[in-house]
Amino acid sequence: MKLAGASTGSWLRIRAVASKELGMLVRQPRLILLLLVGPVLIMVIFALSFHFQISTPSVAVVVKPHSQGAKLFERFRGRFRSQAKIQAVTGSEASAENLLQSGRVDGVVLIPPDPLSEIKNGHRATITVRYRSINPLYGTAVPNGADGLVRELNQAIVKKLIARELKAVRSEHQTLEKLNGRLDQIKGTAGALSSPQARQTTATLDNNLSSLENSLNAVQKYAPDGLGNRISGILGRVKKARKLLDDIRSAQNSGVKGIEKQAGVLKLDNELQALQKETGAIPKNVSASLLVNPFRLNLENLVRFQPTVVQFYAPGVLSLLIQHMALSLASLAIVREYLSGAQEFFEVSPLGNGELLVGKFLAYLIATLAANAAVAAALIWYLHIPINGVGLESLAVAMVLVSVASIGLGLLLSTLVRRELQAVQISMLILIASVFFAGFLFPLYLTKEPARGLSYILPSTYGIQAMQDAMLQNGWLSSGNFLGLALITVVSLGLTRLLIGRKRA
Amino acid sequence: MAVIETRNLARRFGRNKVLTDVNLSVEKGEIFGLIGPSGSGKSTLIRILTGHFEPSEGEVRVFDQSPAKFGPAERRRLGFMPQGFILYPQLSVRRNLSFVAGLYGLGLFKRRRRIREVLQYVELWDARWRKAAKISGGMQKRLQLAAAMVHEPDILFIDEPTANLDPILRHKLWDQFEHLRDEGRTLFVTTQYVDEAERCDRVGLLSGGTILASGTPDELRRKAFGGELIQFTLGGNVGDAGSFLAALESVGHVYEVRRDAQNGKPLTRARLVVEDADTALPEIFEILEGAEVLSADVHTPSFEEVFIRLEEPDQDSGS
Repeated sequence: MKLAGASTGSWLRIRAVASKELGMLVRQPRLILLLLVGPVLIMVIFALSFHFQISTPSVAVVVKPHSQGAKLFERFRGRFRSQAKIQAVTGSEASAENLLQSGRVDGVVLIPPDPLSEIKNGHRATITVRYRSINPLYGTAVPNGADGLVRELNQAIVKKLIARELKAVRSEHQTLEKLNGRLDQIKGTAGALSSPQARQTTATLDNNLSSLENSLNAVQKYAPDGLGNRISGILGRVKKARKLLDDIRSAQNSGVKGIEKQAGVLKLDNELQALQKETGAIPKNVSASLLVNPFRLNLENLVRFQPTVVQFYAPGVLSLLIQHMALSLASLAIVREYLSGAQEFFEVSPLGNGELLVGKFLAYLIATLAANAAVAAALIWYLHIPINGVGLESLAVAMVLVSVASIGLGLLLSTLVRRELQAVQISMLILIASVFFAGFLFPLYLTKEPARGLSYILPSTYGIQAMQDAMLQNGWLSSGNFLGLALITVVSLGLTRLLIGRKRA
Repeated sequence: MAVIETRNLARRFGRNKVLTDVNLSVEKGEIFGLIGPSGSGKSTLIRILTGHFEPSEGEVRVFDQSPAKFGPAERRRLGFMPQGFILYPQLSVRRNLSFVAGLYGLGLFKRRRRIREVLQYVELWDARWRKAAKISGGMQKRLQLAAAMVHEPDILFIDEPTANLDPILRHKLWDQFEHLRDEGRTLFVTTQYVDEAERCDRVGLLSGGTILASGTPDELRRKAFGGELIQFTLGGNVGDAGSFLAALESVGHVYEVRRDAQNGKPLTRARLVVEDADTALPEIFEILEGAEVLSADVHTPSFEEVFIRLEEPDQDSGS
């Protein structure tokens, strides 16, 4: 009884606590909204705006005007177009390189001036493709396109079968050479023609000619025009030789007089010699693999340093850390003072709103930079990122700008929220949104408009790019990234100042 | 010389009128106590006087200027001690004070000296390295007082300083206020403890957003009861006592007449309101000659009584 009473009492207390908690939650619809709708909304926007299509790269094609290479390019222009958007065709390698450096094209394709002569001389013709990409996961559009292009070119020019059948033709040519030798011995004595040895030779010769005919038929189907004509000629001779051989084999079987047989053998001998000569004309030095892949791809990534996946993500991690820390600290700044009553105290004091903002701004800037300088140093050291000189200066500037913009955004958030908890939750939502929309996990071009608009208000959208440029390319901050971060800072601080003034009024 | 003045001041929040027709005048070097129950508009009035709100109607002048238009120089002359603890619990007592001193532009050397002085003054010097979160509620109040006076302001606005404090601490705080007044500072103190009015030089009674009365504590008492009170107890039968009481009406106003009994003997207790007790007493004793006077003394009513009396819509002392 006692135990039952205790358990009932405990249950009543638990029920009281649970009922109180539920009641409090129900009375905080904004909290529920933020907890539930916030992340769901981010996921929905991401799902609706994300399209996993690596866009067709734009390229500049460098080819010597009126050259054999230019003719080849014009002939296969359609195949080029299937792999890339051709932005320019120029004879100047330098101007194409300029387009690449300025980011107006993703790659430069250099077509050799005389590719067929190179192939004839036993060398593969090299198509060089230059590009700039540090992203090991999503920066493969140019190399993939280039690879596809060369493969298509190779397929278009020579099919695998040509090489295989040509090999067979050459093999038959060697056999013909041997058989010719035997025929020379046979034709000396008419009586020997009906000997078992002679019968064996003519039977083997018949097989070889049949096999040669099949191979030549296959080659003729895929061979380009010039080679095709030659194969047709050889095929004619093979057929003629097979007919003569049929006659001789019939004579062998029916025992026809030696002179007739000899004349047939002589004709066959002449045809075989001509056939041997013609099959021998197929170039011996050109390997079958060369004929299968006459074009070779030479890919050149012009970036200073090709990072590993972990190295590639390091600048993004740093940018997100800076943004999150600065934004979280600043988002609590104003709301905390209002909630504690300190703001009222400040308003009686000589402290102006501007002074309050600048004071807080400086403190958070120093704290964020100090903490993240250590993180940056650890990342560079641990991941062996080869940064120096301009890269370090650029990284420092990028860190300052991302911190400044994030603090500005955080202070604005702090004037808009009513509770510290809201500020913390919104900071977390901004972090999640940044992972998806700021180009951390996926490049920006995979997000469709208008969702991409969300990216433009996130400091990390610019920060990730700026820090990648600095840490992985030793490059200077781009004007676009600088302007983006500066704009976020100015707008958010301006609005914050305005809102604090209004709150007081 | 009045350092704080309001004329017909009113403040509305939307349709809700929080203050109506407030007229006040606070002289330099005095403790002015604004006394009123919770929700009477004390904090709103203090916020208007410190420039946090502007009045919806009427005029407010502090140092002969509108506080809403105060610049840093005028603000340096104000000290403010809010009702709740608004300093930083995670910072030490000294660090909190240093921050406030910095807000008022005290240089490093002066700051060190003043921090020492005020912490010793509020008896927190020994606790200077302790976190504000780790000191008692009373100490936090004293820390806030130190913060309000660290820059040596001319006027101190103190909002309900003694709320939730034990009587000993309340007494100590008022001692410190008086000491500050003696230094020549003006203190504007709000409180809901009506008995604290005794410690003020002048008092304003605020109820329902209106000043019911203002003046020195004695003036308010007089105002509440229409003069000084003499309380007496008469023995003898009720009829005789009634005759004496009727006779006393020639000296003052008799009220609160209560019939009682002690050990089977009847008693009559009554209060008499007179203009001046000292001059009225001989005449009273003359009238009461032959009466069985068990006790008669000058009664000083508590401020609670005064406040209740003033708050009553009809102040007819004879009722």
